[in-house]
This record gives sequence, C-alpha cells and structure tokens, in this order.
Amino acid sequence: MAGIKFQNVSFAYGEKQILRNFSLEVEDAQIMCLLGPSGCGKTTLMRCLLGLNRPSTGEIWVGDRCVFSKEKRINIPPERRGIGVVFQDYAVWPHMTVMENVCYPLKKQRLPRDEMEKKARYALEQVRMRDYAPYLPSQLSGGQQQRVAIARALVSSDEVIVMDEPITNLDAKLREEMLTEIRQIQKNIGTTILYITHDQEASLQLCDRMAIMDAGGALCQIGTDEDIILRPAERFVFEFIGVSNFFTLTRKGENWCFFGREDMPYTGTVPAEFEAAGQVDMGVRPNGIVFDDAAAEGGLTPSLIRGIIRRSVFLGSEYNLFIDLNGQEVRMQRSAFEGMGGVPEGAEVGLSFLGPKFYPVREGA
Amino acid sequence: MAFLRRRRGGVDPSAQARSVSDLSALEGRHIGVDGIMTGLSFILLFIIVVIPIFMIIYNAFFYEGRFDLSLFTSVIFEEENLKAMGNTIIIALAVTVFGTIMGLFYAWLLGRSDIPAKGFMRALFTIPYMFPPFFGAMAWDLLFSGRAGYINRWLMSTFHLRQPPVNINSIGGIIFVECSYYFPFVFMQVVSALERMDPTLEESARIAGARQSQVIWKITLPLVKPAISAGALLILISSLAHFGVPSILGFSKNIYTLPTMIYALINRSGGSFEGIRQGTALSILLVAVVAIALVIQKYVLSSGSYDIIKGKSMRPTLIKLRGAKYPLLLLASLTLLVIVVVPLVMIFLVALVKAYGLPLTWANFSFSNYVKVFDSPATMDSIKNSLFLSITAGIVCMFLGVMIAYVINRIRPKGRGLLEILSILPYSIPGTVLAIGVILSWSGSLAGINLYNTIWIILVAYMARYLSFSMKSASASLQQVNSSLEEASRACGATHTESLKDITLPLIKPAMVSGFFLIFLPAMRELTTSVLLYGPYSRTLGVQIFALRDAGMIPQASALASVAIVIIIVCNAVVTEITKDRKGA
Repeated sequence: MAGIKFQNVSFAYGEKQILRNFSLEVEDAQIMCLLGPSGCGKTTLMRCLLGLNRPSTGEIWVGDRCVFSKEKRINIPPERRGIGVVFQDYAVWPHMTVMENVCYPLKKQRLPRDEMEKKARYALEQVRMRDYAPYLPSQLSGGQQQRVAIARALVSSDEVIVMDEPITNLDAKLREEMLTEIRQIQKNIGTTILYITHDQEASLQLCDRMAIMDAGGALCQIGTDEDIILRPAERFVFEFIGVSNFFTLTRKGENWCFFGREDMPYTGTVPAEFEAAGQVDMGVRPNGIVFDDAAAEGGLTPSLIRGIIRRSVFLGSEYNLFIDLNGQEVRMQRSAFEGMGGVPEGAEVGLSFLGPKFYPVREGA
Repeated sequence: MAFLRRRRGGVDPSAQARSVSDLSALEGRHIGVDGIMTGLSFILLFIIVVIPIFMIIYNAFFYEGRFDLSLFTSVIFEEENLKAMGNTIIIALAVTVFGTIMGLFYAWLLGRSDIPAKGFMRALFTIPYMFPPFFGAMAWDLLFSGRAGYINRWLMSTFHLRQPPVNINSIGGIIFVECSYYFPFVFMQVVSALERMDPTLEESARIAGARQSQVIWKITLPLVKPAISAGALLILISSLAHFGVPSILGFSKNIYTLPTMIYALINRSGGSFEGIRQGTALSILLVAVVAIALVIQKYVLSSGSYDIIKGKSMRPTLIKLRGAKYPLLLLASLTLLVIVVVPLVMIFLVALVKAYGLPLTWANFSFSNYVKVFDSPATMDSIKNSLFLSITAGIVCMFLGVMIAYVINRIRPKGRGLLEILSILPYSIPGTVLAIGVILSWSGSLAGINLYNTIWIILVAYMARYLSFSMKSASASLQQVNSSLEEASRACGATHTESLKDITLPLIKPAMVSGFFLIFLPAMRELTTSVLLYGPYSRTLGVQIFALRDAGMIPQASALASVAIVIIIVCNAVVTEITKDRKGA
C-alpha cells in the first residue's frame, strides 16, 4: 500500500506551461478524484506520475519511494514505477487475448507460470470477466474492454492505480455499473486510486476525497465530496461543480438589494466582510431556489422577489423551470412530487433562496 | 481569479530552459533506443537521399571545383534538348487530359450507373496498373509500327494502301499508350471517392428538385474534385518522368523526351563522364519541370478537400442508363479489349512465333523462344538479379520505413519535418535523375566507394526510390495504433525495447507486409533506373527485355516479357490472398 505525493511539480509542452509548482497528496488506500475542466493539465499530471512526461521541477513520491526528483536527479523509467494505469481509450492490446493482456504485466515481473495464472484469474474474477479469458478484445464490448484494462491495472500494481477518464466512452447505464464496481474492487483490495475526470457526478459517486483543478492547472480545493459541494472554497469551484445562478447584490442603506432595486431587498444575511465593497455576487443552485408564496396565506409579507415562469420542462422526477427575474434568466429545479404537479408557464411566483454562497464581484462581469 | 495567479508563482524562464537540458543530460545513462533510431534515420537518409541530390546539383553547376555554368547553358540551349523538353511537356499534358477524362468517365460508369458486370470490369480496368507501360508499348509497336506492324501490314494488303494507315512510332502513339496505362490513377481515385461518398448528399439534391444531370454537375462532380485532381497530377508527374514508352516507340523515329534524351546522351558516350555530365545538366531541367508540377499539386490539393466523404462504404443510388445501357457496355468492353486484352495477347503470341514478322498462324508457333530464354545464362541471371534486388530492397525498406515512420510519428525529434521530406522526396524525383545521382555518388568519387557496374548500386537506387512506399504505409498504420497502447505496456513493466517488440511491431505487421509488396512488385518490373545503372553482370528483368528487343530479338523479348507477366500475376494473387486474410482476422 502506498500514497502518492506530488511536490512542486512543473511541466511545459514547449512554450506552453501546463503545471506550475503543483503539489498534491493522495492518502494511502483512498480513492482520490482529480477533477478539472478539459485541458487543465490533469492528464499531464498523470503522465508525470507514470513517467511518460518528465517534469521540469519538483518531486514525485509513490509510498516511501521517490520516483522522480529534479534535485536528487532521480527519474525512474515507467516500467519500474509499479503503477497500474487505465487509459480513457482502454489501451487493451488488440492482438492479444484477454488472458494474455492480463498476464503481460505478470510476465514482465517474471512470475512463475502457475502463480501468474492464479493472479490473472483472480483479477479477471474481480472484474467479472473470467469467462472471457480466451476472447480477443475485438470480440468484446467497450465496457468489457474497460474491465480488462482494469484487471490488467490490478495485476500490475497492488499499490497504486491511476485511471484517466476510464468511463467516458461508455453509455450512461454502464458508467453507473462500472463506478460501483471500481468502488467495490477498491474496498476488496485496498489499492490507492487516483481517478482523473472532468465529470463531477462520477467523482461524487466514487471518491473518498476530491481535488479540484482550475483551467490554468492550479489546485483550487481538496476535501471530501461534502466539503466541495457544500463549502466550495472559490467561485470557480462553485461554478464548476454544478449549474449555478449568480445575482449581484448591492448595498442600499441598511439592505442588500437585487439588481440595485430597493423594492427587491434580500432578506437573508450577507457576510459582513463584503459591506465595505458595497457589492457582492450571490450564487445559488437551481435546487436552492424555492417558491415563497406561502407567506401570502400565512399572513406574513409575501416575498418581494417575484419572477415570471417562462418555460417549464418536465424531466421525470423534477421540473426544470426557467424564470424571468427582472430580465435575468434564472434556472430553478423543483421536485415533481412537491406541490400539485407543474406550475403553468407565464405565472408569477415569489422566490426565496437556500444555501447561497457569496463571492466578491467579478471584475468586468 | 487574481489571487490564483499569485498562488501559482512566477518561475524564472531561464531556470526552466536550463532544467530541461540538465535533465536530459542526467537521463543520458546511455543513448536510448530512441536516440539510436533517430540518429540512424538521419544518417541513412543522408546517405541514400541527400548525397545523390547534392552530387547532381554540384556536378551540373561546378566543374573541377569551380562554379561553371557553361556546360549547363550549352546543354540546355541545344536545339535537340529543347525539342525533347517540348515533347515531354506536350506528351505529359495530353496524357493528363485524356487519361483524366477516360478515368473519370469509366469511374462514373462503373461507380454510379446500372451497367452490368461491374465487379468484373472493375478488376480488368485496374490491370494496366499492374504492368509496366513499356510492355504495352512493345505490343503496340508489334501491331502498328510503320510497315512492319501486323495490323498495318494487314490493312495495307487488304485495302491496297501505299502508306501504313497508323504510325504508333509518333508522339500521338506515345500519348495513346501512356494514356492506357495511366488512366487507372484517376479511375481508382474517383471510384473509391464515389464509393465513400454519402449517397444522401445526392438524394437531398434530387429531393430539393434537381434533375439527374444537374445532380451530376452540381453535386457529384464538385465533391469528387479533390480525387480527380489528385489522380490527374499523379498522371502528370508520372508521365513527365516516364522512360519506357517513349524509349520503345520513339527511338526508331528520333522522338525524344527528357528522360529518354538523358539515357541516349549517356548511352551514346558509352558511359563516359562527359556523357554523364551532360545527362546531369539535362536532369536539372527535368527536375525543374517536375518541381513545377509538384508545386501545382500542393496548391491544388490544399485548396479543396471535403470531409463529407465518409470512411464507410455505402450503397449509392444507381443511375438508370435505359437505352444507353448496352451501347455503353459495348464501349466499355471494347476499351478493355483494346487496352488490356490486345497487348497481353499480342505479347504471348509473338513470344510463340518462330521468327519476327512471320504470320501469326499455328504452323509458325513453337516454344523455341522460351527454350532460348531459359537456356540463356544472361536471362536467367536477370531474373535472379531482379528477384534478389526486389526482395532485398523490399525487406530493407520495410524495416527502414518502419523505423523512420516511428521516429517521425512517435519520437518526434527536432527536424522530423526534414526527415519526412527526405524520405518522400526521392519518389518525386524522376527515376532517370535518381540513377544519375547514384552514379555520380557511388562511382568512386566519394570515399573511394565504387559500386558502379555492380548490383549494389541498383539496390541503393531502389532503396531511395521505394523507401517512401513502406514509410507511408507504416506511418498510416502507426497513426492507427494509439500511443497509449505502448504507454500501457511501459506502465505494465515493459522496457521501451520490449514494448516495441511486444506491442508496436505486432500491431503494424500487416502494414509491414503490404509495405514489402508495395516495393517488391514495382521493383520486379523496374526499367527506368536499372537501364542506366546495369553492368555486364547486373542486368535486371526489365533491362534484359529492353536489351533483347533493342538487339532485334523481338520474339525472345516477348517470351521473357510473358514470363514477367506471369510472375507479376502470381505475385499479385499472393498479395490479394494475404490482404484478404488480414481483413478476416
């Protein structure tokens, strides 16, 4: 068992700097999801770990073994790093059978034949592909090929496996299944997995911890999935992790107002730190917006934030509502089982906001 | 976002630059496989390609170490040579125009109409592609050469003509024969483009209200235009550099093109250095003409390509020919008869006749020519030489091609663009010119290496000429093999050499095999370069046929040509069988 540690790793493709002094630690026997938009350098980082790219600075550790260090002049070649890998395009060798594919790493470890067979069979068992041992990859579906790739990664390392978008090429149902399986296999074996993806839903299902990278290749936040979702550290994380609505609130006297209109005051609390700026951006998720007309019946003042429903899309378990709020389109999500079915398009509704996040106003926005 | 940028921190750019080179220095435990392959590729291409080209340019413009244009200008402005250049251009342009029209018409007829027996005719239409055009020239020469040609004689005696009605030994004759061998370039390009074209493109035009003829002109033709221009320019360049047909049909009537003129100059001087120098100067002229064609090709090909042509084969809607069906079928069959069947049959018949000029009747047939051919040690040597050269060049180029393709596609060193140009360049250089470059380089002037008159000088020329075939084939195949396959094996514990051996090579094996045959087949029938390079003991099959015919032993030349035809057919069948197996796997 072993963790992974990146320390001040930098890498550039020619003139283009991808990673700048990047540091990240993956704890032993965990699944860490590295999440970031396309082209942010996730794959580059993985290739540095595998030894396929050579960083220009820093150190990389696998367990207590230093596999790369600029200072100590260490650069262990990929074949001796002992890291299993699952590529996005499976990279199952088409000229070898499933069994031969899975045996290949063991052959390179010079294991005796019977032990090799045993280990390979066990790995195939883990991914439920035992019956397919004599097949050629061209006879398998995408999902099955991916399982072979995972089995191959399992036998090539007990310690660390890196997966680069391993389920992107599968259909939705298979994706779900594979995620559950990867989780299960990891529980059985206790391998450390670094899982690289741009799909936040997959990482939510899978990970112990998440690390978010921004488009510039910098690390924004590390934490448990709850941390990331409920307490996003930065506006980028908040926006990246799901659909978001943003409103700019302006300080007018005692109140914070929507769109600078005093007749639309925000009734919640804005952190005091923004008072000096007089302006703040408030982010709300679609399911953080609720109808607030109950006040009218209860005798309290109804919500002053009123919008018109422009479009309502039924999605099975919920409605997606597009609401016109003072000219801004607001996306709201409402459970289909809440209230009495859909709300007619064109109706005026009062709104209130749950779990808002506040960020400094973006310049130029 | 501002504070993010701060967090990343600045890195001193000079430190960055230094770090990369430091690391590569400490990496260099010993020079890796990559380094060896890259270095080897550059060295080999330098020897095979750069040196001959340099020697041509040097010898054309320098004499005894001094810059000297006198030879160059005197050769270029000689009337005979200017006329040869004019002939070359006229022939090439005419062949391109007629060949393109012919290829296009039959491509459309077989690709888009409901004419019967399509598969059969298509197979026949690609036959000229397999055989060297100078076989055809020989056959047509037998039929229509002045008063001696069989058909001319028959026509003259039947209709009591004073003059032979058709003279194949003319520019027109050369154009006709080259056309019949080069039109498949356009035909095959366009047929495959038509096949891969999405039929809904045409169907939507019909639905939008276009008539059938409008669809052809406004939709189909513009969409296959890139295929047409690619094929047409291939014809143009091949014809400019072509040696076989004009040499066989033109020499007797003093009609020369640049390649045959170069040959004649060197031949006349008996291989002396003066003759070679004149040939060199003329080569520069030929290269200039081809270079212009290449520039046009680059310009035309880059200007239009459409990706609406899909990779998959689809069933196009066929155009009903109705009443025109059988007349067109007759026309196609006649064309096939004239360009494919007649020349082949003629070669076999004349091979059987006891002496040239005797009527083609049973009484005059015997196998004596074959006996003579197989009895002659020179002829058997030529077959052996050709087999040795083709197989060796095929195998060596197969491995070199894979190595260079790997360096270009995977290792991607600095200067890979140069590597790519150098490996493809010799293909665009006319064979005649290449042969002169090889003579100039390896006749003792460099490091005392003298390969002249040996079989090795031909091998060097073949390697330069055909390397691009295997390189392109391996390159295309490597692009299909995702680099993650090799990376996965590295992560599985295989060293670089092991992953090359276990993963990459097995995966591109089919391309290597087809690369071998792409070289073996044309090398077997090669004439253009060998005819300038052969020595007393290094005749090739093509040279021997050419020489027998030159010595007036036409039936024997035909007999040997028919043997070559059989060899080519057998080899082609083997290739088809092998490639079929590959698809099945």
